[in-house]
Amino acid sequence: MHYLISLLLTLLVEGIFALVWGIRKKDLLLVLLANMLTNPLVVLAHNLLLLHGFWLHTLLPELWAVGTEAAIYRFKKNHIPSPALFAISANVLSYSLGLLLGQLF
Amino acid sequence: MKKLICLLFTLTLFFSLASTASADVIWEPYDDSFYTRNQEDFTHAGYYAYANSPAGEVTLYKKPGGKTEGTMTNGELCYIQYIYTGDDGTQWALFSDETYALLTDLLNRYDEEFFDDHPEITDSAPQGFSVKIPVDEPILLWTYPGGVSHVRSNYWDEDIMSGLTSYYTDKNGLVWGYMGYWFGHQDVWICLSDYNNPDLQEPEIYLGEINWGEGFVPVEEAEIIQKGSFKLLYVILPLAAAGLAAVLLIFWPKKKQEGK
Repeated sequence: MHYLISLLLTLLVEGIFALVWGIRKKDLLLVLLANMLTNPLVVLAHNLLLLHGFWLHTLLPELWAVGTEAAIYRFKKNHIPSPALFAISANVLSYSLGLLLGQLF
Repeated sequence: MKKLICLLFTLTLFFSLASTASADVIWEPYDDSFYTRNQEDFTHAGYYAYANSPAGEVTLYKKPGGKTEGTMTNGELCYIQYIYTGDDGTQWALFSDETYALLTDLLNRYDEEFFDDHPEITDSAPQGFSVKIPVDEPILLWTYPGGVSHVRSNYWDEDIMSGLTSYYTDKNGLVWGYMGYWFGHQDVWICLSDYNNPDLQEPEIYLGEINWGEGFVPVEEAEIIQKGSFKLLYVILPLAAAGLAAVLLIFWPKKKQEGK
């Protein structure tokens, strides 16, 4: 359940952010697919490496996610403006909102 | 312009999360932002326990799942201030030095917390029992009858029975009396039948198997963590989701290279 909630929230947040960024139609689907690839693996890495320090269980997986999404937007057909910047911003936003939700609930 | 606004919003949100809120609690760590952010998941403990990891030493963390802050050798006594329960049910002990350890790595000992539930504690002394302790005689104050800790106090009031609120007769027939407060000492038991005998102390009672001493062999820590956290479904589901996305992305058209 935890994985599903995390994935759905990420897709929602980054989907909305993508719309504000000016991304539309098929490009939006690409964004969602990219997150469907990275988010479950980031959450899995976090759970398995929980006792091995922040660098391993959070920072490294998040950096991998940003790099992977940026690469997907760079090499796959789309019209996403400034794809690397979008990948970084979207992930920082979803991570921040995750922290905020963790504080609230 | 839109991208700039998006960026500014994201950065503002990110850095604003550095601030935390505090709440009034009985005891609050001085510099523990994790505690402040997750107070509702903490419950007060207030008891002693022994370091007892199967690995031979207990790892201490700055926060649950965070940076390591040292270790405790098995057999060391520590005082648990609070217990934190994570989303996955894992419980962590918080100590006064604001470090955390897995609760499963700690061993409870039988002490006054457990003795308080003893069914043989009564409100009145055994029938016919009465005692007057001579003035200026030393008496021992115990945390619980036969408990591991006791202090010596001088006694100067002949009528000790009037201050007692509970009584207990142990297996040796000795009568003990309880007082909530005795001249600076809280929650004390006095052995009315033998009020200044330190030999009444019983051996430490551990509430579980001890992982120190002769014959103990530490288990590789990685093996323990993997056994505790590995659940097949929790690995298969995310891999399946990521795998599906990967397959779809493979068939997604590539960008045309410039000049072609």
